[in-house]
Amino acid sequence: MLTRRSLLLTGSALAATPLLPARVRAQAVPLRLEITEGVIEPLPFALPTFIARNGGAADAAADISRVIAADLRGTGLFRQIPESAYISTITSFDAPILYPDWQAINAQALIVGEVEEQGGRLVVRFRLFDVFSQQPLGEGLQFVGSRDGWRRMAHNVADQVYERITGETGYFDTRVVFVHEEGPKNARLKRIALMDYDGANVQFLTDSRNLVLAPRFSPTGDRIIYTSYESGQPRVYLMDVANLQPRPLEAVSAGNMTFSPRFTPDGGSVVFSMEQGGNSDIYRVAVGGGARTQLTNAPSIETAPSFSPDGSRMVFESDRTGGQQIYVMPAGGGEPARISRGTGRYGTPVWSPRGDYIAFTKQEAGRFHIGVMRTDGSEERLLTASFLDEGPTWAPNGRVLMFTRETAGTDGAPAVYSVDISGRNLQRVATPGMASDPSWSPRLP
Amino acid sequence: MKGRLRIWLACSLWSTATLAQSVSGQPSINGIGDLVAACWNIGSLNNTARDVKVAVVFELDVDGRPVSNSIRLIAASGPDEAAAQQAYEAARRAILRCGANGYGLPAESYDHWRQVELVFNPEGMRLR
Repeated sequence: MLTRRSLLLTGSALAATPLLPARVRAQAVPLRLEITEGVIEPLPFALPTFIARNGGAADAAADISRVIAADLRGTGLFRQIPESAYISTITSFDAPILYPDWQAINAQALIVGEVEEQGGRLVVRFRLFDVFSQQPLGEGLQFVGSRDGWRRMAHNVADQVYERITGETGYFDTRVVFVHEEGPKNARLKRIALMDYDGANVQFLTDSRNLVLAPRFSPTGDRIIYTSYESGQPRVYLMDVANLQPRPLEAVSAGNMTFSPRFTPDGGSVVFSMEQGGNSDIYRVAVGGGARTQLTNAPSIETAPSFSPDGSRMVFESDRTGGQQIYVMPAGGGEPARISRGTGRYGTPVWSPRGDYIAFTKQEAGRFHIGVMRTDGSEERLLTASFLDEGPTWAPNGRVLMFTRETAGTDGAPAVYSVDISGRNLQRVATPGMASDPSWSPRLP
Repeated sequence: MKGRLRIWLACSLWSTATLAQSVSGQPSINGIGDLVAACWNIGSLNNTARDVKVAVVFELDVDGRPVSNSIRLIAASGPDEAAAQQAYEAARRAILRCGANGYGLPAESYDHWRQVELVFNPEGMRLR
């Protein structure tokens, strides 16, 4: 449906006429045509290696350029034009852009930048140009940081470029917490690890003495909650990323198995499943301690809770009708409504940070899928298919998902993959070894 | 390219006459749409912007090249201003990129095509 602006559409000639020169006004009404088919292709961009303003910035300029380009290419929305095709050479950050040279190689976006070292810190400046419109896309920006932070500065530039062209919030300056795995399948060692979204800067948060599962970021990205077998049975633990000191979640009775934790959107509470007498239900407890609140009460397995971004509703999986299905209920408790309606089993639902979709794992006919559906269960779309795909997590912009894919057989191994919510651009994330259970952080502050 | 372009149904009698004339004697006028369509790339737009229909008006010089600073968004569907802006910029890129060398229009009928309104309607591309 067209909005108020559309009123201008039918009367557009009248609206446009006063803005145009006298000669054009002689044409009473513009020639009108409608285009209904275009192309869906990656947008070609040129990114000449950033200029190093001084000798100390040479390596960083090359590295930063490489990471920016990799970020953009990795989205599947952009295609990098190789530097060997360039006609122009960027010799100065402030030099005028010779647009025809970039048009000739069909670059639609041009990213120009420079890096300078100032007293042991790096200063990164960049500009983005729309080549065919021959004008800047937004204003130039500058980032300042430590030399060690060069990757973050590169991700920040890429986020800006991505945002200005796609209109989406970028997701490059983010991290992922996941389970790093080592050893044979029947004696797997697992550790909680942290990495940049692209697999760089891996940091281990736990050792491999205890089995660990399902790490999840807090909404502010400074805490992690996960399940550990440190006490001999599954129990939910909290950890501050800054000090890596784990502690069991308060108010959970020893002897009860707790698992599948997730923070509430305000970060003040945690929801999790607790098993008592062979029955699992979902509970909520404040991070700082206090009494727990039981949110579900059914003689079946209720698990994998996830909140809507506004905190008003919760989605979870339950086998109350036999096979696993997905249900939505008010956050404070109440009657759940089943939203998964297809054949097969559904699990691990995760609400999109935009609030518009729920991602899930689906098992049907011996295959596993990652899929998305509207929050009422409509418009189900399966994005992947394999021997074992499971456990989706959303990028903070709600456009990309990561998940675990495991190969079959005794040598089968898990790895982390990402896919666009349109089902395009399936990619393996570069991790230092076997990896599973990813959880995407919010944009870093 | 048949089917890729259809005449905007809301066009005036004057426009209809112009287009009828172009169909019989000046197919290159309709060719503007085909050329722009080949450059209309919504691949980098977000899902919201991909659903936005925009109407853009612009001038052509006598050589059939779009005048860059004449391109204006005059209508957009949907309430999201940011998405409309992204959709408009994709449309503008298409007009400029594929018109950079001119649209090959007949100079003798310049008065008929010196101002063009293009409606970019992505409805048929949603399932691709």
